[in-house]
Amino acid sequence: MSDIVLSAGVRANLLQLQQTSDLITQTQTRLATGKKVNSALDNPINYFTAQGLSVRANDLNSLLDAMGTGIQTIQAANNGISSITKLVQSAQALVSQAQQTADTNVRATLASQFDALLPQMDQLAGDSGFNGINLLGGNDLTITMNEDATSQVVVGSVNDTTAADLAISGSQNSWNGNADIQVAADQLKVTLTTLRSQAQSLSSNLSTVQIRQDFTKAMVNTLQTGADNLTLADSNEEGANLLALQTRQQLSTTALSLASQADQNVLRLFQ
Amino acid sequence: MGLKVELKAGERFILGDCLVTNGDQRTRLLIEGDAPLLREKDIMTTAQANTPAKRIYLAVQLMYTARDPRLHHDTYFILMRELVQAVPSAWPHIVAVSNNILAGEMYKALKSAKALIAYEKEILDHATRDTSIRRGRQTDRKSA
Repeated sequence: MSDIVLSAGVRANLLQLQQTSDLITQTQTRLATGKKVNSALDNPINYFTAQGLSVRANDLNSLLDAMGTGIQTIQAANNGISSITKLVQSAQALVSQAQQTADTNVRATLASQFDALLPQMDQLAGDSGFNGINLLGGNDLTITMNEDATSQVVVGSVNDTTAADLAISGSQNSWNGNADIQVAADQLKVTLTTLRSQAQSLSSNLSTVQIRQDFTKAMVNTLQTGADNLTLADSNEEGANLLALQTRQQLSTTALSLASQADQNVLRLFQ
Repeated sequence: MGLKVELKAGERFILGDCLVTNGDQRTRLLIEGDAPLLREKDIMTTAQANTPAKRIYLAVQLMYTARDPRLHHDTYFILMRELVQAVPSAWPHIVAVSNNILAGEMYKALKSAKALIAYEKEILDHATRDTSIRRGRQTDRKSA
C-alpha cells in the first residue's frame, strides 16, 4: 500500500466521489421512505435526540396523570374543609340559640344536638381522601413535577378531627350555665379561623400544581411535534427557515403582545 | 447564603419589582432572599429582541420578573413552537429552557435561553455566509 502516493488533487477528487456515492444512496433511501433520517447511522445525534424526545413526552405524560390525581386529592380535601366549615357554622347557630334562652330544658336539647354534630365532623374529615390519601387525615401528598424528580410539591396534611386540629369538646353540664355555652362559642371561633387558613394553604398549593400541569401539557404537545421534525433536520435548511421566521415574527402579533407584556412588567423601567 | 453583586458606577439591575441604579462609585452588595434579580448585562429589551431565540429569552425574562408567570406561558409556547418548526436541531436547548421553567428555576432557564441564542447565532452565521463555503460542508470525513 505504501507505494501508492495520492496527490492532494486526487485525494480531493476521491473524497468528492465517495461523498457523491454516499449522497446517492442516501437520496435513494429517502425517496423510498420519505424521511431524511431513517436509522441511527444517518444522523446519530438527531436520531437519538428524537427518540429521547418521544421517551420524554411519555415520561411527562405519566407525570401529568400523577398531577391530575394530586389535584383531585387536594380538591377532595378542600371539599371536606368546606363541608366541615358548614357543620361548624350550624354548631355556632346552636350555641347562639342556647345563649338566647334561659330555659335549661331547651339548652339541654340544644347541647345534645351540638354533641351529635361533632362525630359528623370527624366522619367528614375521615372521608375526605382520594386515592388512599386523605389530606385531612394525616397523609401528606407529594406531587412530582419533572421526570428526574428534582422538583416536587409536598402538600402537608392536617388532622381535622374534633379531638385534634378542630379542638372542639363536647358540651359541658348540658349547657346549664352561661359560662358552659361560652366555652363552646370560643372554641368554635378558633376552629373557623383554623379551617380558613387550612383552606387557604390548600388553594395556594392547588394553583401551583395547576400552573405546572398546564405547562407540562403544552410541553408534551411540543415535544411530540419536535420529535417528528427533528428527524427532518438539515442545517442549511434550518438557517434559511430561521431567517424567514425572523422576518415573519417582526410582522406578527406575537411580537406586539411581547412588547405590551414587557410594558406591564418591571422591565419597562429599563427602557 | 446570599448573592454577592458587584456594581460599576452607574450600573443598574432589577431586584423584584424595582430598578436599582448604582451611584457614582463601585459598590458591592450582598442580597439575600429570593426576589428575581437581573443584572444590566443579562437584560434584554424589546428593541434588542429581534431574532426568534432572543424573543424566547425575553419571554423567559418576563416570566422571571412577573408576579404571575402564567400570563407569559402562552407567548412562550407560540415562540417555542415557531422556533422548533424552523430549527428542529435546537431542541436540546429548548428542552433545557423548558425543563428549568418546569422545575421553577427561572434563573437557570434564562441561562439556558442564553445558550439557545448562541446556538441560533451559529446557525444564522452559517446561513448568511457565502454559499460556496457551505457546499463542501456536507460531511467531514477523513480521506481514505
